[in-house]
Amino acid sequence: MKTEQLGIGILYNASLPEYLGQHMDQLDYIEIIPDMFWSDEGRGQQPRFRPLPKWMHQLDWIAGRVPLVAHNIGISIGTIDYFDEEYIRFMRQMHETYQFQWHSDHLSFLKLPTKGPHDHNAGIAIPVPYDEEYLTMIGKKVEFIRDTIDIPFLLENNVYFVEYPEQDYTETAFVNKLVSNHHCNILLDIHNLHVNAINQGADAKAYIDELDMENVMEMHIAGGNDMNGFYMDSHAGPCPDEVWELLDYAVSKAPNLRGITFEFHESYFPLLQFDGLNRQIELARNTWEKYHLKHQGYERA
Amino acid sequence: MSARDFQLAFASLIASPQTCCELLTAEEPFFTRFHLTEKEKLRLRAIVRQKGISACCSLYRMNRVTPVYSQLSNTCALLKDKLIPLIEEFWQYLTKPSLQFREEVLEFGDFLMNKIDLGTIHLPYLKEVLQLEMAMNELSYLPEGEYRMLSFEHDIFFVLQALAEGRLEEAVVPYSTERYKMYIKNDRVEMETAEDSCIGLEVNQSSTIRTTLETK
Repeated sequence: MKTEQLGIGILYNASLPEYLGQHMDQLDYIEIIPDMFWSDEGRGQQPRFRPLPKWMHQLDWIAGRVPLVAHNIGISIGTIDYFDEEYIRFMRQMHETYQFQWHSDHLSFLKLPTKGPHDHNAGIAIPVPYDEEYLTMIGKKVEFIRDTIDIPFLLENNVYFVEYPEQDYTETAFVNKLVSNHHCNILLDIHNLHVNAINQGADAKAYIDELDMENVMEMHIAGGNDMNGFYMDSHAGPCPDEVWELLDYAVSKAPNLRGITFEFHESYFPLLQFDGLNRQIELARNTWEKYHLKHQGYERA
Repeated sequence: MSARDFQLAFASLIASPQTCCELLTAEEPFFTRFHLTEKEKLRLRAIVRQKGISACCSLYRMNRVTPVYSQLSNTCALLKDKLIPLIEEFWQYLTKPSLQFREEVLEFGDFLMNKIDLGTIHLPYLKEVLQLEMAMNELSYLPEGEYRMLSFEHDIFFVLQALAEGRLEEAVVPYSTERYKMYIKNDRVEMETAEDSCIGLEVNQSSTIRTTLETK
């Protein structure tokens, strides 16, 4: 399974069309959240996934210009007794059309099964307990995803506000075991590490040191803000200095990195504007070029 | 069954600060609703005592209110301080949300329209603005060619303009007998009157509606 080194990308949102129309040359790829481009009519409905015309029009325009990467929010890989194979097969159709370089989701659970056509949404991505039971369960799903969609599948590290006592593994040990046993890759969200460092006192550099960095294919960077005494992963504009410092540290240890993606919420576009976006991309590119020169496609072990 | 119930129990805590308080003050009634191991009970006890649970509850509320606030922004602006109590009442009624924008907005819109029709909420122009935003929401999920016919008692564009400028309460709003055809064209919501003029509606960055009137 070969993937190209891409470089610097941005997570697509509704505020971007005008920027992309003028500054697409700044970017090496676009990451999309595929779930934003369709409406899920619910299990058993025909068709179940109804493309949203306006969004698909944008997607087709982008796909004609730069490579695409998919970042899902709907697999809910950590939900017990639940796996939406129909959703994965639809993602394969999307991939056949748009040729994603890789795809990813979060190491958490979001959806809870119901008897009706729509799942109950927990409202936030809840980290799974890092237990053997979850390792086995998630591992099987990863294998199904890899067998169904023939591109690398990445799992993203969590933001957490509460901790489970008595877990079998630390997060890094859990991720490393998942990656080595079930052949997936890692999406290392640098801002999530920063959030956990502020709120939980976690040591972000130690996390990077413990993680199997050979399998990190993508990194996310973003900004955040304070809310009621917590620092939130709100994608609120530019990255703080600590994120740039951590990014440098992480990139220096990730020989198989394929891309760095800047994420921001569309409501913060007025804060960033075109120049602000270009500046974030320029800073990310400086870090990228410090450690990575273009070389041949990476083949997963 | 147990691990599945653990996830349901955790999700129910995030969705309700009251449920968190219930677990803190008397845990048995909460625990009897789920099949949980002793380890899972221990974890839930620990979670609900960490200060981060309040951040989880706040995030849930923000994420759940976002579809309504972004798609029915003018309706929310009209509701002012009535919005949050209504949203909370709606959440009591719809306890298993999909958080799909379309479903959440449709459900809340129907909930609100029902209250307007029953007379339990009475605010000038609310029904008309809600009708307009519900139709816009619905059409945004449909292919070009689909349309909705709408009529308003008042000049809806005057209402939106005055609302955006914060002068609706003192404004003298003209009545209207127009019927409009609302449809999507080139990614824009447009409305056509019987007089064959075309009105373009744009949702701007702050999700308020700007109106422009162009005569064909």
